[in-house]
Amino acid sequence: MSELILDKARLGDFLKAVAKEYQLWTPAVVDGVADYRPFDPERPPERKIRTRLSIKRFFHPQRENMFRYSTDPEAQEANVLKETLPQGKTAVFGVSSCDARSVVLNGLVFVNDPNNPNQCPYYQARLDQTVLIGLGCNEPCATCFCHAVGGHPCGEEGLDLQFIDLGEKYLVKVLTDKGGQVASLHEMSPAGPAESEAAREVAKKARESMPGGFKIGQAVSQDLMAIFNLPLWEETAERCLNCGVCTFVCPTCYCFDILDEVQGQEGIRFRIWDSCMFPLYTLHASGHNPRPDKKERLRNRFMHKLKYFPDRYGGKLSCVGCGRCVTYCPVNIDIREVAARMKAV
Amino acid sequence: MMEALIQKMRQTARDLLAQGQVEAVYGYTQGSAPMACRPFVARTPEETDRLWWDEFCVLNLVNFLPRGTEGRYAVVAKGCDSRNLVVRHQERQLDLKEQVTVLGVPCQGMLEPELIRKATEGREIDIREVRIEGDQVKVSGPGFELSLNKAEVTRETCLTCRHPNPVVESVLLAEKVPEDPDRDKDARVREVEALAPAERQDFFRRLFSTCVRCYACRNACPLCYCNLCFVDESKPQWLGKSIEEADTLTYHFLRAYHCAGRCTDCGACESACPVGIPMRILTRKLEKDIKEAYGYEAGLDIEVQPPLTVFRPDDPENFMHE
Amino acid sequence: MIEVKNPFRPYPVRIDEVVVETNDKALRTYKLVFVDPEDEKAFQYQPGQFAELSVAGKGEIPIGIASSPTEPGFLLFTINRIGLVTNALHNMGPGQIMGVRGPLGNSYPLAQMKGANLLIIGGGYAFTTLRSTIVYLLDPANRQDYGDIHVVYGAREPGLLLYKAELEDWQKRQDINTYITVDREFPGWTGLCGFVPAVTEQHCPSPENTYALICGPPIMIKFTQPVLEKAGFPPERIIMSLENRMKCGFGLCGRCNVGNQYICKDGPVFTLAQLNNLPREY
Repeated sequence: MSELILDKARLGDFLKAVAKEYQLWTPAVVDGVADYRPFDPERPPERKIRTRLSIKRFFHPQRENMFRYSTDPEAQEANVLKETLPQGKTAVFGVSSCDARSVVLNGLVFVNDPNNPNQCPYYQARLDQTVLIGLGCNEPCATCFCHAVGGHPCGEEGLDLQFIDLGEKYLVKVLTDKGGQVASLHEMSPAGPAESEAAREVAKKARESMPGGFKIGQAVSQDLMAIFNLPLWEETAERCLNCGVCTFVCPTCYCFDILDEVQGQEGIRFRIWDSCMFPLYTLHASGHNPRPDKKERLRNRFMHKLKYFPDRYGGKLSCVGCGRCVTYCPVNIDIREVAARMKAV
Repeated sequence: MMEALIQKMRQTARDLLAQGQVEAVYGYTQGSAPMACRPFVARTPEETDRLWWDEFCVLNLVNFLPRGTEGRYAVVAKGCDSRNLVVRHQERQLDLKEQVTVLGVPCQGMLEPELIRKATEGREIDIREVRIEGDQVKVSGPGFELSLNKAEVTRETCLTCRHPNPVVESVLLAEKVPEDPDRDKDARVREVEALAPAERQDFFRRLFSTCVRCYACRNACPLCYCNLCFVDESKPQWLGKSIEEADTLTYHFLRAYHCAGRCTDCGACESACPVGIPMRILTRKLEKDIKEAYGYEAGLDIEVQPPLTVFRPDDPENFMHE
Repeated sequence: MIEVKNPFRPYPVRIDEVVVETNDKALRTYKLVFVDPEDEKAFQYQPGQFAELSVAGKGEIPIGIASSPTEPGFLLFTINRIGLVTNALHNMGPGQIMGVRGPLGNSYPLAQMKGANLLIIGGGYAFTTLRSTIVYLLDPANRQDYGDIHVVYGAREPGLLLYKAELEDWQKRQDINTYITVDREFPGWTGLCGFVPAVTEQHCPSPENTYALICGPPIMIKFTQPVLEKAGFPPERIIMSLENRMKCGFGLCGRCNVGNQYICKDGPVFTLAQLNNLPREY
């Protein structure tokens, strides 16, 4: 794994070089809101910006077209579905370690599940076509708790390149072959031992400055039905709006709906983000709903992320500790509080 | 001032519960993050100690009330919220006289977390503390401190509010504030009305371009209580669910129309939106039209029939062509 | 990553025949034939499994496979007309193209049940995968591997019973005991009367070395389960087939979960022992 140095002043040049080969996205603030935008060569990112919506959109977009078909009865292959896989070469710069981890965690379901012979070619295509260039956190953000769910502010999981901010320059770690190809697009000198050490110090300090000692994973070892029956759910759900904001800002919420739409005689089958918060999510055609009230739906979401998912995937939580749900939940339902109470069986 | 209000709120709630006059008190409690707004239901006298009030109580508690004429409860209501109680009564979703004890809060205006976040230019995730000091709002985090004018981060609906005092109340938790029922709320609407059609279309497309169809606006709205929302119908399906522009615009426009003649401009929709879309422009336009056509504002008088629910022979018919 | 085909893509199939099963016309059985014989070879299934039926332009529905693997050359699905897709399907007829994705889910544990007796209980139109199972069991290649077979099947009235031809055939056979019932007396009906739980109670065989397979509407299961428990069937030998709203059908989209199990992937067949440790969210 090689380590390189890039002067901060040259970041713009590096990104311009990348933008020649890839469709490059960087975090940018537009109208006060931080989001990934197509790279603007006039305005390269100057500081660490963590976007409001996560990197999920590059691998599991809000809408993913899956098939096209014709409903014209005269057509040669009427009603036969034709696959439409995503195309393109994408690079994303400035990815936080929490977001990058989410790609790997969601990947456990979509492409890397050894117990599921059915995997998703759309997610795989996007993984194959996308390069992730991370920027480590020198400081945790206000709602960050990545360390409590198995992450690290300067973690490398899911990234192809990792940039560490050393003040006047970046240390650039090449983590994969894909990352190596990107790094080679712009001249960078190898890092010296002092610089490597400085990067390690940055990572260590970032980790140490995080509020101490709570690990959410302990909920995993408790009995499923005991957690299920806690009074916690009724109390928390009282104020829940069942709106779906948490599921949409969350990098590790991946539930989707599959729909057909036809215009004239041309049809598309596509999938879109869905939310377990919506009553329609589990509604049977008969009208029966196994999760009729918001309490059941809220409980299911937390249990999925903090209990069912780790049960299926070797103890890994379906949460990267980014804290977006805490910030944007209109009624301040706090996953850290819920997780803490899930332990008290 | 807040202190006295909170004390009176807690004491009143405590008495109501202790005397068995209500089964629940709907209010707020302190949250776990800066600018948090956490609705809370107190069901025992002891729980009333957790009741709280500050400038970030931006949601509409009427949204959380049970529907139906069973049960008696108290609800903390500022001006706009109290008007929604009237609307719910008119729509037979509750009995204002028999069921509801209104703990009225004359409102001095709420701050919009979204405006404060936007003012940090992308540093919103680093906000550790938000303090109100006089007419300044101090926002701080590692490496930055902003001092914002309170007026600049007050919710737009509050800056132009016509009815800050509750229109119905059982108990007033503070002194009434001056109010101007004829205040102009429609400057922004007139600006958009003045745009040429193509420009106007662009305006709306840009406005809703970041919508992710989470439905927080709908779910925070006290008017949206249909058992099956039009968005969720499949036979027939009225609009698509993905973020296709036409579908997203349809959703917002239709929802606004469903609120026409009922909307009190409480702003819960805008406050709930995770991507900060100022969608109140739609309902403001419709309420302006209703006011001009029928001289009516929603939720002011329990005895008056909302104009879109009755036909009067003298209703304006300017849409009829000669 | 395991290199596979696109599991979201349906195999094209042609509707070969549509049989109206019930007198209210709400239930029809579709006989589907693969357009590409290679696809049929790929579609190896076992009784208990289901498939996602796809109607282009409308959507997909998860339906239990009613045919048995011992009936090659076609697939049978019995479909109730209730929603968007099923209404569209009921307007389609022989010659038209639709799609099938699968086989999905797990199957009844037939291998494990060899040498045992079987009590098969079904109600209403939830009898589809039980037809698959019974046809499979009665096949000469399989019959000798199993002990006594008892079938209790009930519907509201005679016109609502499915697979009348098969029921008639089975009633004549010696190697299977059938108890076909309707809820109440009905003109012209000379068979049993009474709800499925009651008929099960009356004709319940010994639980000794017997498995109970039960598939039906929630209300039927609610009252039949105690009958079996009282008779002494242990929860490991009460086998149930569950349903939930599904979309992907193979454990990705999230919605069909019961606790940490997906009905589409870890089910739809579960033992009562498994279900007793899971939330009742189905």
